[in-house]
Amino acid sequence: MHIRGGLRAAIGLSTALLMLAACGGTPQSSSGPEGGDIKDGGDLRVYIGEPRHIVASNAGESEGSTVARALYSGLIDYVGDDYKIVNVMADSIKSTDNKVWTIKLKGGWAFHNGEAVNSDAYIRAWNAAAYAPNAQLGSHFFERVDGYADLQGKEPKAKEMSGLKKVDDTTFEVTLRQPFAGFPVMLGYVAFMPMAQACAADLKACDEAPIGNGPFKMDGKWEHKQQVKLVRNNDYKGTKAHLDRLTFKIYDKIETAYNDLLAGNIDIMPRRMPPAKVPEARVKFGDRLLDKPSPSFTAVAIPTYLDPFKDKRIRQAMSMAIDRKAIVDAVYQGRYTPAKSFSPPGFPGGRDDTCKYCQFNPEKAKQLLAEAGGWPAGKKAELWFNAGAGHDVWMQAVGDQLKRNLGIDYELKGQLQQPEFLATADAKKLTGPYRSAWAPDYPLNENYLTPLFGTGGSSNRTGYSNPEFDARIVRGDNAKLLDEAGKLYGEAEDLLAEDMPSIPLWFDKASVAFGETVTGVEYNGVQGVNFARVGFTK
Amino acid sequence: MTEQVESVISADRSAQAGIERSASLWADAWRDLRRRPVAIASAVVIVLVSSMAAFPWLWTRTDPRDCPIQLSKATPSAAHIFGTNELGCDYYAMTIYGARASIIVALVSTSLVLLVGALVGMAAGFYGGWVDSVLSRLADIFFALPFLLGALVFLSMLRSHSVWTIVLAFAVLGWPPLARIVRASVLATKNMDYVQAARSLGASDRRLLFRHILPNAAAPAIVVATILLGTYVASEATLSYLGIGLQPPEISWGIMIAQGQSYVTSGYPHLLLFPAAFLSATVLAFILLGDALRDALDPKLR
Repeated sequence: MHIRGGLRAAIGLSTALLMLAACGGTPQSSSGPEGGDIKDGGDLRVYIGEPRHIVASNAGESEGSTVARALYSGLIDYVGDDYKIVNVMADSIKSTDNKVWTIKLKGGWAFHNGEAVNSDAYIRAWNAAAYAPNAQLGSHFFERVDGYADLQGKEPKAKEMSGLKKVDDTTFEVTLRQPFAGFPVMLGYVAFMPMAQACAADLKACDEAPIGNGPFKMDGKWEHKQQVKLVRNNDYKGTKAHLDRLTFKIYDKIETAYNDLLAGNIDIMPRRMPPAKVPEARVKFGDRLLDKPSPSFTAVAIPTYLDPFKDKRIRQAMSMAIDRKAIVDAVYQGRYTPAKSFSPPGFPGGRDDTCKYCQFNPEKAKQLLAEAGGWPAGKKAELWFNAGAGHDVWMQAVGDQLKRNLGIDYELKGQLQQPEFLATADAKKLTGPYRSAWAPDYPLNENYLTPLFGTGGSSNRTGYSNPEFDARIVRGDNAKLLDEAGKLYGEAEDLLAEDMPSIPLWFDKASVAFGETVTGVEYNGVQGVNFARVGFTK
Repeated sequence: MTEQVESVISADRSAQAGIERSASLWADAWRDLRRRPVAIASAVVIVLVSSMAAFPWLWTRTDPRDCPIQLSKATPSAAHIFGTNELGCDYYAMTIYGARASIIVALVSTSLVLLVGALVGMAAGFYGGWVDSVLSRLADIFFALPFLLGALVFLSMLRSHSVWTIVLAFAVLGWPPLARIVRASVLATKNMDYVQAARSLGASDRRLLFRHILPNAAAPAIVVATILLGTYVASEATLSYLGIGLQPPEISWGIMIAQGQSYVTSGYPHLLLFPAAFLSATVLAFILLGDALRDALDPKLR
């Protein structure tokens, strides 16, 4: 996923995740005692940036999925700091060969418009998401399902994937092209949420006012660049929300949102805040500021299809010229963890210390640059990032390091807002290294590798393509057990550490700050804040 | 300027001030300015800031773009007398180098505005009739655009922002007031006897305009231009502050203020105070000098 403001995405793409959730999460760092102090009712005003889309199948980016998580409930949730999988709508998800998966649903759930959430609702949702002419951001999550290819292209052969089969109203079968031990892990991602018939009939209209099955439902339409208003779904089958209303206030600039939080015009910033304000916020908010390690990852990705970045020694040199620790200390007050790998340590399959070129070593960097023939005289490196989300300072620090340690002068290109920035990156029109941030869609290291670096990967904007990398990913897919798969994916990651299509910088911390009367705030690195648990104190 | 005008003015002036003998309007003004401490102080500030812009190496040997990030946010000390910013860049060197963008934008924009304003104003005032109507309505249209809003809109349409795009924005939006002033002066002057006399002697339009009329219109235009210099320094900083003027890593006071302000409340007020002080001093110097010039050049105000 891409995170917008901060993270991720930048590039990346597509996927999404973070969220807030509507669904469940368990308390990890709840600010208030369980429930007892929470009153029912109230309108929680939440900071977000303008989403690209909010209907679940198309909410492949952090802001959109924040809204979608409140509107929908999926098959499973990821719970706790180890992202344990907990069934929500699923009764069971089983397979004997990792290829054919049988999913049983709990009965009795309904969409906000009263339609039943049954096997058909899931099959309909997944087909609609995968169908290329619908152009949904969640499409590529279904690549592994049998028959996905038939739904691709301008004039697809089919509208339904042959791998999805209804058994009865609450049971369906998913056949994958190849065995994949990680399939159930993916199912908590927003692209796998069910879709109502009324929504499938007109996806575009549905994006303005999605019909979900979650703890909150839409109140009116998405008011672009203003707000998205939600109210409690009183017919919700899971744990009902405390709040009467949940209003996502859309801001262009995170600094404005922070000032509004101080002024009491919004109640919570659910994921990030302006880095320079964190020390001040610590004092002002005290234990109303959660500063949690997050698997969200920031890197400078490199357009490997452009000169002079085609030479991997140039990329290695740039990576070694950046003193990550010093930047983190200066810009983030030492809060973030300098990255030494491409997937987060502590995440299923993730390891520490896989990236030898992530060491700061200006001497070696100069030598690598010289071996590659040096930097073209007079050329400035153009560094790209999305506007308005506080990335200019750290990107300037990265540029300063390149200038100081390698003599590469730079220019900042930070005028594009997120949607335009991502579109430009997708079109491979960025003219230099760019901010790439990634928040995991589902808890498995594979999610940091295939979409970003696989040949033709859904968020592969660097143009990186290495057949051996692709082969190692397939080897991981074929593993019998999840643990073993994680290890094999790690072997694919080792190739990135040599080729350096992207320069890992740091793993973030999520900063969640909220007003004095807000309680029940929990943060989960994959799902974000679970708004169904949040409320106001009595 | 011609003898007649000089005598008119000196008569006017000696009537009020009494005794002094005067040579010309400009000599008079010069004598007057030298006696005003505010004017002298302003001129000194302007000379100093201009020298920072033209020869920053006279002021510092440190490269403001060479930033050891380990020194992030150092408070002022002997090695870094203004401290360093969050990226470890020497703040004194940045402040000195920041003058250049301001001064270039101010000087070039003002020159362009003067040029365009004077030409349009002269044409409108001298020829009158439909030329005047067309040019004056055009000036009214541009005059109606709020300056800062117009510049914001103009610059946000452009993808790349440099000193020159800002200059262009200011020039496009800034000429109408000058055109009006010049037009008014030309209207007041063109029917004077000495102009009629020159005309009857067969002087061409061009000679009339540039030898006889323009010199009389110059004084008010120069006063306004001096004040404009200050306004443009402030406007460049405003636009850069808003993120739509110059972009980092270029250095300008507006960018420094924008980046420094978030640290004021966290214990690093120098990151805001130094660039803000330089900016205010420069703007104030231009505006006070403009005021002093107006007083000196316009005897009626004495």
